[in-house]
Amino acid sequence: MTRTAGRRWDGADLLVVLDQRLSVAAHALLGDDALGTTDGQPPGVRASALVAQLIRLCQDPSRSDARWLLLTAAFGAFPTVDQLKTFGRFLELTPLEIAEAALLADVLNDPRRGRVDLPMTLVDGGTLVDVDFCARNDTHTGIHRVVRETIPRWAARHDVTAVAWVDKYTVFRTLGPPEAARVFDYGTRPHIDAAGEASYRPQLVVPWRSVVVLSEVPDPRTSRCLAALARYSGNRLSLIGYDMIPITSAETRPPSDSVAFAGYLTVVKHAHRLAGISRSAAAEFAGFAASVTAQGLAGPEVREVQLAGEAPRAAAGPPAPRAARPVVLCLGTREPHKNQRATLHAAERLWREGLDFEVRLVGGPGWSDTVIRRAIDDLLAARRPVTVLGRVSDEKLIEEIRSASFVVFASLHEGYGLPVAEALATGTPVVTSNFGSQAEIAEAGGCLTVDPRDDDAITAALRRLLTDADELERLRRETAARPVRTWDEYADELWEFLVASEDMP
Amino acid sequence: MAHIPAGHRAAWASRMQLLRAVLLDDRRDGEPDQRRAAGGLPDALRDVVDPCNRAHVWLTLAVLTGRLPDRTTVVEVARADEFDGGLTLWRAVVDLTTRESAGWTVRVAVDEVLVDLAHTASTVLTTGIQRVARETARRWLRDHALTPVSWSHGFQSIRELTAVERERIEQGRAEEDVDARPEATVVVPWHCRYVVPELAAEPARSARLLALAELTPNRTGVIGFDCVPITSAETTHTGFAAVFAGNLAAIRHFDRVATISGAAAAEYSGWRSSLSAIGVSGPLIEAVQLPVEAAVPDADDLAAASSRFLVGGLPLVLVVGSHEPRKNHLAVLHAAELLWREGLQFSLSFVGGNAWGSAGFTRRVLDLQRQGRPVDTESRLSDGRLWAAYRLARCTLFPSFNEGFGLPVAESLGAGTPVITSSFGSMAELAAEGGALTCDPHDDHSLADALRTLLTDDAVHARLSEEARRRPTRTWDMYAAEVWDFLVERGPADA
Repeated sequence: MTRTAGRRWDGADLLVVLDQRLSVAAHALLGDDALGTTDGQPPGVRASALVAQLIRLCQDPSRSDARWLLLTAAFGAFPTVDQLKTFGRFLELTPLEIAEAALLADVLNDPRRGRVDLPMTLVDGGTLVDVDFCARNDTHTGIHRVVRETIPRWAARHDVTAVAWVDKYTVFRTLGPPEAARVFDYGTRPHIDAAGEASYRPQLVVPWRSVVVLSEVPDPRTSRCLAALARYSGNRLSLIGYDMIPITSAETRPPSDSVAFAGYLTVVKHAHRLAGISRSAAAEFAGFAASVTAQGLAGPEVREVQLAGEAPRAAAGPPAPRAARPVVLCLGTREPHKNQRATLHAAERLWREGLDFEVRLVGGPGWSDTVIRRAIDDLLAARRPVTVLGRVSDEKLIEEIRSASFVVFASLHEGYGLPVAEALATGTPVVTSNFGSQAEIAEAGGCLTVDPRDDDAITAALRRLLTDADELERLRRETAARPVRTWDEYADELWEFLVASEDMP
Repeated sequence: MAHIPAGHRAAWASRMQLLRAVLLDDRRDGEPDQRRAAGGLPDALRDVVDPCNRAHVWLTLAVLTGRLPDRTTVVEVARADEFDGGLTLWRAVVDLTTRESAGWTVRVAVDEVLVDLAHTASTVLTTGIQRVARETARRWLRDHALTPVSWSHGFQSIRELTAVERERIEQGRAEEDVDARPEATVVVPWHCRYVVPELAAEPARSARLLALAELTPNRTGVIGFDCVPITSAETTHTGFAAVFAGNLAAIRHFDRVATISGAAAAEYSGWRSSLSAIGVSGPLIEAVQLPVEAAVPDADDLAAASSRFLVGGLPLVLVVGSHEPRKNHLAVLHAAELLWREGLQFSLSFVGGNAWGSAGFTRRVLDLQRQGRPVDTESRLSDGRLWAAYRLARCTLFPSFNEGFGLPVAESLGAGTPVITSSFGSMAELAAEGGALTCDPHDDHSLADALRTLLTDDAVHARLSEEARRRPTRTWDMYAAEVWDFLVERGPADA
């Protein structure tokens, strides 16, 4: 039994799909003439005929792309760099007829690298987008929102193939109907035809002379295959670069994050292009790209393509009545680098000064909320007006932003700071950090910026906005004058840089 | 605060006098008096400790408990102190003092140079990093006033070295393991130069060094070897990236990093420019290239190495380094096999231990030996015989994917033997001064071409040998003096 297929492999069926995959590879590498006619022959005859021709081509040491495609077709899995090198060295030292038999024997001996039971399609000269996480999960925070706003816009304007990974994370496959809905129709309840879903059978998807876009931070298990794809397959690899928090601010994340991210960086260093979601994110990745010159690599070409800052859709409508007691709204997952702890400390100072206001926290618990939880418990025990709302719907979030006096988002590290942009687009002033992407967003108005490591600075900013109505009103007017960057603009610029540019190396 | 052992009270009483003296001195130095309400503290501390000042909280916890606090502890205590006049600080002192730490002798080091040798002092083993730390520290101890230090177990506190540990640094040999740590005096640095000439990556050590570097008036410097766990994670143990990233989080707040090569400086500089995302400028980084002092092997070593390595009259190709994937030894085996098939005659010897990910290498060596190829491996070799092997070799190979320095390249050239190495990074830096051919380590044929040249072209071989012999010598004395100058002498003035 195979765990993934859930049914017994039938030898003849496997040979039929092996014939199919090798035909696809041969068509790409050798042209139609190479296929000949093996109609009516038993399964496997075509495969062995094609392997002979394909291996001959692969003996040319300069054809790493051909070796990559042959191994992918044979094993139903993208090869790693080690597998490619081993195969190349083997071909250089082994007579042709032995190499043919050895390759097919290896497939039979090691059928579990990927999915030997599935047929494959080739995307030749096209664009593939890896949306694996968004396809498999309903989570909808930072990265997932970017993917679900951007990739459907691409699909509407361009020829794009969205792909996920097989469960072993060694090769791309097509999306199932519910998965496609999670990416392209998120938040709606699309009609999925039950019969169509039942009969759905995935196909492997293999890029050839194409652009592969990683729109998410992929599963760490993909690193070895993706590094080889970027370096040896002849495809170009483009990425959205969100942030390097697990490395640059490692002390604020769990160690497993740093390990996974270092695996991702083994792919980044071989990628061709990387679009940072802010100047700050671009600078972070450019720093990494500069550091790999020490190992003889150029690193990806890094450019800033700034994320959109549209108000969420639910924002339209009449302004919500503001409460009599001013509300300070604290946004963000409750984990160390979001730094809500400092805001709570500033609030306690101001309550002791006699100011009257409420603090509301929106955002779920993150990987560690030990310190903030203790602070919240202490404040609640002292009967301070603190409300922990946890994770809320988009509609509720907008309602909270609109009825707040101002938002505090003084994070220690952000790739972008989507909550800042969205609060401003909704017309609510924001206290945010005076560096990095948060400072970039603040440049266009509506914000007070502070050093988030300086409790006095945060206290002063809160005091000012709680006591100086003119200042708050001035910032509110500034929010109205901010240019709004739309998801359409973001999607178009991202496509232009990551996919369309002619001068791709 | 019911069941406080008498020993704790006695320890606090005497340590309070230390703390008081240090902070009174600080005030004489003109530090503005910013004391806030300190009514929650014992009388002896009320007029000197500002319980809301993070540096004061750090110092108070370190001195009174004998253990260094991490950043979160200091910040949270200082915050709570604002509302209770230091009661939280005193509670933290009570909570964090252990029976063990109450028994330690504590000394506050003011205006000293402290050199952190925790790992190097604990072993007589000599990896590349330990060799650098030991050779450097030995010369600093000879030439300058400084205090070498280690850490108490579990990295709770910085402490003076034991006599045995000091001997390990100064002589490079001593009993392997003497359990003499607990009674050593704990050292709390204050306005010191704190220098780390080794990799200090243990998570508990990193967390405490982060607080020390960020929150206290100490000045900090470190030798930077490479950033391989982050830039080439595919070549290191899974998990080490996180440990190393923790080290970088501490180094972020250090004042200076002396890297061992220009390539290592490029790695650290790339990392530092990433710090703009968090509004941190990061340390000043400067390359101080490592030296190599070639030893002249004696006749016994030469004879022993000859009988061990030379196969008939075949030229010897030598590869020095552990068999981890980053060293690219599979490419060496493939290039050698291509040349053997061409009919070239030479023997190939590897000197270095097995390591993470070396199984494929071991298998391939066995394959080739079964086919009768003259290839073998040697895992342990004395320094004298290694230098002899360098001299006996026709050439050496070092086609690594990423190195902070590339010691075997420098050693081969120091012995006057041509080397084939990678065409980038620290290896290219070493090659630039002559005696080397460079290749693309990702291309086996590029490596094979270079090896063929050195085996068959006597003119090239003679030219490179001559170049190697003419290279300027760089000594450990020069290196130690330059690093000291950069990390200690030219460090920024005390804040």
